[in-house]
Amino acid sequence: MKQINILQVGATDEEGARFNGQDLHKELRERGFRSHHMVWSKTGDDPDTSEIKTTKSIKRQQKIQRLEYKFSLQSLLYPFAFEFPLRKQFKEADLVHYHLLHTGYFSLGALPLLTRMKPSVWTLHDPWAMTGHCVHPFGCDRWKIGCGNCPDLKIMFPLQHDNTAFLWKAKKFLYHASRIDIVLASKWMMKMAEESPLMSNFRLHHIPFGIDTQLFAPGDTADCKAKLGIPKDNLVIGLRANSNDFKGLSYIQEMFEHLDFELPITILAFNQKGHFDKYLGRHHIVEVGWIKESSAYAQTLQACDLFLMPSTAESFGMMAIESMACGKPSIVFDGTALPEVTFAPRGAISIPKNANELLKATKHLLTDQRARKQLGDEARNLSVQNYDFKLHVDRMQNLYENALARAGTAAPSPAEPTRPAQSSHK
Amino acid sequence: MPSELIQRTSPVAEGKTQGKKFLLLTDIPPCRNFTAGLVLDQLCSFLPAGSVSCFTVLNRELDPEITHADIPIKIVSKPKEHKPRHLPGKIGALESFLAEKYTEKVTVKKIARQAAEFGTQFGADAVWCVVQGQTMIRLANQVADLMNVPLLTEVWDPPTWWLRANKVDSWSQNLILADFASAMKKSVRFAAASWAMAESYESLYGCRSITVIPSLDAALAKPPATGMNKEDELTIGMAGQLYSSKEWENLLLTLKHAQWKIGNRNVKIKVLGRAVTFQSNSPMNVEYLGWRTQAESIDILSQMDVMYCPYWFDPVFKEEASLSFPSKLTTYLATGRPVFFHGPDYASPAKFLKQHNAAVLCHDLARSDIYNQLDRLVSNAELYRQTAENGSKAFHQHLTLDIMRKQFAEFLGLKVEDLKSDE
Repeated sequence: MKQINILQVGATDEEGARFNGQDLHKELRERGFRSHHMVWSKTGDDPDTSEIKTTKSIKRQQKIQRLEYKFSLQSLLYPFAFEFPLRKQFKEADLVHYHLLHTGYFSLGALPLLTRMKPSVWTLHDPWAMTGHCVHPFGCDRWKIGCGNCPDLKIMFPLQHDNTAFLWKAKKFLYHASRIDIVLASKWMMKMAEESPLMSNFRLHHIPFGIDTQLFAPGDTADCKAKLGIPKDNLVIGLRANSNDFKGLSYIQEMFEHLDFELPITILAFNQKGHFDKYLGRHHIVEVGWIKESSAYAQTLQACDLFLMPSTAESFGMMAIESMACGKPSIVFDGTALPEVTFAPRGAISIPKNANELLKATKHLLTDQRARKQLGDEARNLSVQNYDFKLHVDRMQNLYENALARAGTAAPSPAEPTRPAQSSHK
Repeated sequence: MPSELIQRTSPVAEGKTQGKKFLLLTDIPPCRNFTAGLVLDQLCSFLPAGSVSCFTVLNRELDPEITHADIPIKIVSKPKEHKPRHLPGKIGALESFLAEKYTEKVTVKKIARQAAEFGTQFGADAVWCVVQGQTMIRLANQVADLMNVPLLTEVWDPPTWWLRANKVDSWSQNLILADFASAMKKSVRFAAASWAMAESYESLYGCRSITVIPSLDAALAKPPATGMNKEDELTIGMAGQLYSSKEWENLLLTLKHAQWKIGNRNVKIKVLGRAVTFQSNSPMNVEYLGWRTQAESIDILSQMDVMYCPYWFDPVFKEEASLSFPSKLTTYLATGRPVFFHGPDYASPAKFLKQHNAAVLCHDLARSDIYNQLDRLVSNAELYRQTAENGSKAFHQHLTLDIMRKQFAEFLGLKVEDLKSDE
């Protein structure tokens, strides 16, 4: 009997492997699927991952990037996706699963062609696919009515001129000509998609991302602290330091301005470096950057006593569930996907969006060891119940099989799914 | 066009010695006021009288205080290695290429004939060429060929650095690098500036390589420090050329953010060297002590607490970082004080220091890491003592003049007893 052949398409392989299709591709291969990951930029050495870009195409991509910026266009002019049907991996695939498409290599114009050729699934990692230009619309509701008169052209991804109405219409036209099963990782995103006129043509499925809960698990905090050179008596505040519009860095910085605490504190910052220099000598600062290797990343999370994730916009929040799985209590802001994803107040503390509230909640967790333990234990249980990676792949596998069955190309999969996907068909 | 600047002969230059004779072909003569010249001064000190003559192709802006009055020397001026471009873009590159071509075909050829004539008159049995910059790269093979003697090459830094610094156009670069490869392949032996360079070039070019690293008289070395000088102070020493400016700037920024304190210690930096540049709109605690002799430098630095050794993180300099060896490190290890190395883990000095556990290594430009590693070194008395001790051991094991003499003899194809002991 023919093996099902799944092709994942995305921007990168190693960076964000847990959610960009790379780990999913590897797990599917483990389960006996024929699986391939086609990425714009390959950094790893997986033999079944291939790279789209070439020396020539990088130059073309850069020129088009400049052109799109000049004419305030987004993901429309790149030719590379139109070449997919000529690629062996695409030809042989029974189903194609798209991931991040808006990083500057994919043209949405290719979607009608590609999705009519192969049953297609698209995981939306953020709301960009539903807006006229922005990754997160924050308080703006114009994405529901066709954008135009954009209140903020500067937020990611910025435009020179207000072309948002055109871009919104272009998306609508192209989506309506496409056939796609859309995957949304949170109910928050699901609700947004249900409200989006752009998504009305698609089948929507709520499938949370998954993590390896054996790897992301409570560990020996003291040992992990020692490995990072953190004094054993220091209380460690983990956080994601990223200066983009969404991650709430300014709230964290403002909070530290006022944090007056008698015990020594270590700021353990993931991602970008240099955001806490002004506290050198006042707090102990450890900046680990972007850790590619999952076990090293999990060990670093295990060194934390609590985790701050005050994103002002978040479609899911992988770091929050990873720290939950490590048994760490998190603090998140209301109004994003995070309270739902972290099962606040059971699995995290959710607070209104302001630095003073963040300070209070942080102080509370710093001073109350029992509260940290209780919240951390419950977070761990919730993450195992809801976010285990095998469960995620079961759900995805179920979705693939349903999509293939609808397309009339289904074949029995090598492994039976254990849990159904939570789907909403429109 | 090169002009003849100096020509000096001596009785020993007229063939009165019995042993092998070498023509030192270099762009800086043995001298006491330039790092490269200092190294050559040391190496020439090992050679018996009458066994070496020196042909120098000197940058006319330099003013070396030449040593070794007994060595016959001829100095001609070096053609400009930084070719000005009057035209933009590729036309400017073409202009540079044509100028380089002219220099190669006319000027360098003339210098080669002069050098060969000088070497032949001296009766040299081999050319010992310091391969640095496009002029010397082009001369190496030509002079050895004209004299019909073996070529011995000495490399301190990979040639790419020089070419990039002089903005040599990419067409000329390719040709010069091909000349470099040809010179290396033709070399009977090659003196490398680091163990990493020796390994790399030997496998690349197949020439026999011997590591000859700038070294110091063991008698100048200080005993390893057992602790810091003061309870409430940290003095950081920095000596030599400041090529790793980004690393240095980040050290200064770290200290600025930390209010010039590491833990409870007030921090001072003392800089020795020909030039230092920095700017700040906030208070600094830096003292500039100017250029000092090696003995003075060791003496002054040994009274500080930690030696700062920056090296390039910038991937543009990856080859240089991987293959070069900073001469300041020899000085630092002779002070008996712990070294704080600030550079990437692939850097050749990083590997050497790690192998000997002879420094605290900071492999990140992040200010937090600089702070943490410095703090670790100064707050852990045992780490401080051990690092100083290991550094001193590494110096005595690898970086003394005795070791250098042995290696140099091997490079020249002589027995160590054929060379003089250090003076």
